[in-house]
Formats: sequence, C-alpha cells, structure tokens
Amino acid sequence: MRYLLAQGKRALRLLPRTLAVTLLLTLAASVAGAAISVRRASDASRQRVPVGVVADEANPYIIMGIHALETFDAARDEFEFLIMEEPEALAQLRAGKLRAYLVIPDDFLEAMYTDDVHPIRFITPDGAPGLETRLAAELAGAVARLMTETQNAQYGAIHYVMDHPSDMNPYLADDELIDRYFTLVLGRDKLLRLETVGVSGTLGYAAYYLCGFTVALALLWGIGASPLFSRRSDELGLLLRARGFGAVRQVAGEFGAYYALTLLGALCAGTAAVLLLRRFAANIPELRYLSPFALFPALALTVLALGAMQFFLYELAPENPGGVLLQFLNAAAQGYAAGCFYPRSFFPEGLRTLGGCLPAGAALRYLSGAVSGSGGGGLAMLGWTAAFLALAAALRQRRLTG
Amino acid sequence: MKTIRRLALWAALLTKRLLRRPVFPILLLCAPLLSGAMAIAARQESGVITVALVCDTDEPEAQRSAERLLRADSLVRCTAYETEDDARAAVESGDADAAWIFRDGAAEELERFVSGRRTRGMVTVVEREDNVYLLLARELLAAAVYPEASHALFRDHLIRALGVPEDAGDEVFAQYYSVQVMEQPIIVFSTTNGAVRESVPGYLVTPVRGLLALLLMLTGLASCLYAYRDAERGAFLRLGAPRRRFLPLLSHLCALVPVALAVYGALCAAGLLTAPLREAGLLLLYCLSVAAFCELLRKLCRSETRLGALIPVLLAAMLTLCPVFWEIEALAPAGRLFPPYYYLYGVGSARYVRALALYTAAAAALAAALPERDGS
Repeated sequence: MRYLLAQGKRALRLLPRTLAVTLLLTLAASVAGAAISVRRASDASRQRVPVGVVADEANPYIIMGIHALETFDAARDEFEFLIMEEPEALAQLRAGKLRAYLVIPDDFLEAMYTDDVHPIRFITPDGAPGLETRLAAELAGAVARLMTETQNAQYGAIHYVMDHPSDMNPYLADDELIDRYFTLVLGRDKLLRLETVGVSGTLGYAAYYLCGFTVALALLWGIGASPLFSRRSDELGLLLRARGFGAVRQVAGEFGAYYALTLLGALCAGTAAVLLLRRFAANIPELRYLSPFALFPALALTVLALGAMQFFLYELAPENPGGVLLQFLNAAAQGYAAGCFYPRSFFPEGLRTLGGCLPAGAALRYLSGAVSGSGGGGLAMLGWTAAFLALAAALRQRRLTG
Repeated sequence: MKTIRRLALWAALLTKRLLRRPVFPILLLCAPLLSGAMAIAARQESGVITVALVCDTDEPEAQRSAERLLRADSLVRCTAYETEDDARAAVESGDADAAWIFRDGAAEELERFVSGRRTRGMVTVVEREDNVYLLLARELLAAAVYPEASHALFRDHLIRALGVPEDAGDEVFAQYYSVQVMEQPIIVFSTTNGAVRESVPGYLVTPVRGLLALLLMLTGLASCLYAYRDAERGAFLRLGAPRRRFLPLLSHLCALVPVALAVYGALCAAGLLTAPLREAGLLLLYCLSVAAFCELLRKLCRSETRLGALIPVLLAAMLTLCPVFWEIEALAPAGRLFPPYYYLYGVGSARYVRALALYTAAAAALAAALPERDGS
C-alpha cells in the first residue's frame, strides 16, 4: 500500500499537465467532429472533391455521361466534375488542385460498338490513390457502361431503320429514343425498391467511429506515460526485493498508480466528449439519451485492459526511444487491425478474425456493445488484464534475479 | 576536413548509443515486416461494402444482373446468399451492409418501368442506414441492371416506334442490339506520364505510408525526450556552448536516419514505392523537417513531462488532420501546421515538396531563434 501511494505521488506530478492536454484534445476532437457533422448537413457549404474530365464536348453521349455522373446520388455531394483540356488538367493535378482526372478517348464509344476497347484513363498523382479517388473511378466506370449501352441501342435502331426503310421520319424516332434514354438514366433509381431496417442492436457508422477513436486514443495515451516509466530504476527494485517486496507487489503498486492516472484522465475526457457531442453532433443518435455516467464502467474496464498492455510493453522496453516507438507500433498496428480507423467490414476475412482476437479488437467490441446496449465482452477485458500483468510480473522477476 | 570528421564521429556515437539497445533494431525490423504483412493481407478478397446477394428467380434478366455483380472487381463485394431471410438476417446482424434481392416478377417490373408505368422496382435493396459508400453501391447495382433495362427499352422502341411486330422473336432484336461482353476493363489507372499502372496498391495498404510518416515523427519526438534527459544529466557539458546548441538537432537526425531506412524498406515491402530516387530525396527532406519541428517543440516545451503529455495529443491531431486515413478539407488549414501533411501530399505533387522545403527552413529558423532553457 505504501509503495502504491509512493508511485501514486510520482504519477500525480504528471496529472495536471496530462489532464489539461487530455481535456484540450477532447475539446478539439469534439469541436472538429461537430464542425464536420454540421458542414456535412449543409449542402451550401459542402466542399466537394474536384475531379477533372477531359473529353470531346461535341459528343452528345459524352455530355449525357457527364450529366449522369453529376446527378449520381453518390457523386453529387462528394465530387465536382470539371471539364477541361488535358494540359490544364495535368497542371492542376500536379499543383494539388485536382484529386484526379479522367481522359475519355474521342473514339471510346465507337470502338465499343466494334468490340474494341479504348479504355478511359483515370489519372491520379503518384502514390496509392485514396478511397475517395477509387470511389470516383468506380462511378466513372458505372457511367461508361451506361453510355455504352445507350449508344448500342441508338446504333441498333439506326441500323434497323436503314435495313427496313419506311415512311416514318427516322430522325423523330431517334429523338424519341434519346428522350426515353434520358428518362431511363435519370429515373434509374426506380429500378430499385429501398427498405431501411434501422440500426437496432448494432452501431451506426458515427457511433462506431466514436468508439474506434476512443480506443485509438486509449492506445496512444500510453506514449505520454513515457517520462513516468523511463525514469524507473533497477536499483530501487532490487532494494525493495531485498526487503521482501517482490516483483508481483512492485508491479501491482506501479500499475495501480498508472491505472489511477489513466482512469482519471479517461473519465474526464469521456464526460466532456459525451456532453459536447450530444449538444453539437446530431448524427450520433445512440448518445442522445445516454447519460455520460452510463459508459463509465465500460470505459474503466477498457482503459484497465489497454493500460495493462501498455504497462507490459514498458516492462519490455522502458527507455527512450525504443519504449515510445514500441508503444506507437503496437498502437498503430492494433488500432488498424482492430478497426479503429477503417471499419473491420472493410477487411478480408482473415484480417477481421485477427483484429477481433487482439486486445484492441476486444476493447472495441466491448465498448461498441456498451454504447449499443447489447453488452458482453467484459470477461475478455479482465482476461487480457490478468495476462499482461502476469507477463509484466514475470519480466520484472527475471530482471530482478538477473 | 577536421570538422567534418569530428561531426561524423559524433553522428556515429549518437547513432551507436541507440542501436546498442536490442529493442531499437528489433523495432526497425518490425516496420517492413508489418508493412509486408499488410500488403499480403490486402491481396485477399475484401470490399468497402459487403452485400448479401439473393437471386431467388430463374428469370434470365435477374440471373444475368446477379452474375455481373458477382463477377465485378469493385469496392463493393457481393456474396451470394441462398434465401431472402438469410440475407436480411445478415444485414440486421451487421455481417452485411446491404442485401440485394431479385425475386420472381423482376422481368415484369422491368417492362412496367420502360413503358412508363408505375413499378415496385426490379430489385429490393435492404439497408440499415445510408452513407456515401452505400449510395455508390446502389449506383453500381443500377449499372448492373441497366443493360437489361436498356435492352427492354430498345425492344419496346422497335415495337412501338419502328413497327416491329410484338411477337417477333428475340433474334430480331438481338441482331440489332448485340450485348458486348467486355473482358478488358473500361477504366484503367494511369500515372501522370501516361503509363498504365499494371496494379494499383489496395486501399488497405494506402494508410501505411501515413503511419510510417507518423513513426518518423514520433522518433523525432522521442529523441527530444532523450535530449532532455541528456541535458539533465549534463552528458555533454564538456562541449562548448556553441557546439552544444546543435547537438540536439544532430541527435534527432541520428535517430531519424536509421528509422528512415526502415521506413524506405517498409514502403518497398508494402508496394507503395513509386520513383525510388525521388522517394529517397523526399524522405530525406521529411527527416530534416521533422528534426526542425521537433527541435522547435523541444525549445517551446522546455521539460520532458510537458512534451511527454503533449505527444499523444500531437499524434491524434496528425492522424486526424493529415491525410493518413482520410482527407478532410475543412481541417486542412490546421493540418498545414505539421510536416506529415506536406510529405504525404508531396508524394504526388511537386508544389507540396517545395512547401515542405519552405516549412523546414521556417521551422529551423524559429528553432534557432529560440533560446535554450539555460539561456544559451
């Protein structure tokens, strides 16, 4: 108990700064999240991703395709398609003013009709294109298929008229066909019947990201504790051991102090975040009727398990810069695989399974269950805690016995 | 010459004290190994949206549409389900983001649609909530169904407008509307010099570069913590004040260079390396900017505990504001405060490389202007 209090006093020296920066971080994250939420709700202030289009503006099918691209629900609010010449598009891409640009060959549609493919080029900056850029490419591919089928039909109708001359005005018939295709393209959503079943029992995307970000912050928190752990002395440990205060009790005392510090910071940050987000961000319905205190037990258990993991890693590598880098590599790898940054549904089956088995994955699942009300996963948190503390004690014992 | 040799000696000693500890070299090896593992994992089948696809009918229009969806190489991954109940259960449990259900009567709904009559829709789409990826998925579904709708409209037009008998066989219409089955892709990714990219790194691998940039950033910050400890112990008091001023900056660079080599290897392992020499040059410039930024922070914070408390905040800020996982235009002005912002955009744009060089110079000048804690 005295050792716990002594370690607690050491940790308390970090407390004011740690609390201050944690609250600052929570405030900044909540304000940023709310700002993004408000901006996304307001079409007028929406900034769209600019994508250039290099095409023959005299071709009516190209124009129809570009209009179709601009009216796609998935494109309308996300992308701004700008028609321009290729040299200008390349210059703007290199200057960072365009995310990507499309080059539609002049003979693209004609080539398709003769079983040939002169593909549309989708030019991106060097480096791997991001998700939004890939989204734009897929939409462009969907429009290209619409354009191809439409021209297929028109050419077919023209050839029929040429093969079967009649008194009918072929231009009027052609105009009627084009009109019908415009109506088809613009009304294609009527081909689908949409049913929305709601998110009961599972989390909406916004609440999922909130839980993911919370776990990610908890993972990164360990890095800030480096001054506390890098100043430990092996000599003190040996002296304590000589007086009957072995590895297990030392670990218990030090971890107890570290957990108290972390828990205090997490609870302050959690309360502030829930209150701010409930007030300013309407996109997280799960928080609307949730009392800030309702999540305290879940947050406490999450921080316990992740704190034990960080404590074990500091036993492995207490000194800088190795200790700090190990904490970061662990946080980045686990945070990513567990689905804190991209939802786990984005991953292949193997990576999803692996991410779910990791401590961070278990923490995210547990926290998500607490927010959605479905519960479960507390035992896994306790299991990980016990495992990491046992390993830390074993390492400490090994170090003390030389 | 003597100065250069002395500088090289100091650099070697400062690097050696880091590499002496077994944890540090092991961590350097971990970076390329983890990146390579991620690249291997990214090659497996995955998708941003998972759709439970049910084709509960023998109608050829529905079957052809379903086949197109299952064969498509897309961000939307379609998995065939046996029954509608299974697909709905998958959506409700979160195993699938949406369910697309083709039932009997799809062909009749298609006819009603192209003839302008009210329709209940050819495909039933079941979702939990809406987002931009599900909107994309619905557009891809509409594009997969569109050939059937187009053929139906073409047939209707030939009958109504061009006098083809209604009972004419399918071969009459097929003769004039040949459905092209295209094996080659319609869209190809290209580089800025016109070369077609044979393969594009998977979206799962894209954030690796950003995470590696943050790893370098953290190395610089950890080096600052180390520099505080050195100052506290008086490790370099023997050196004169003018030389002592530049020692922390040299320490940062000596910590950054081995990690930068590991990062370069990790980029190779992940398949993210574009032009090797350009990347090496950009990485070197990034190391200089990180060193300058960290040195500025070290002088501003003035204590190990203050900087240590700030590190998680900085990392979280950089994860959000810099284009590691996402690009939020609204927060771009704040992102420009950090070196990773310029590095990540600089990979594809010379403008950002120039901005990074300017940033480095500005940060170095500010850091040099600030006095040390002891007033020197």
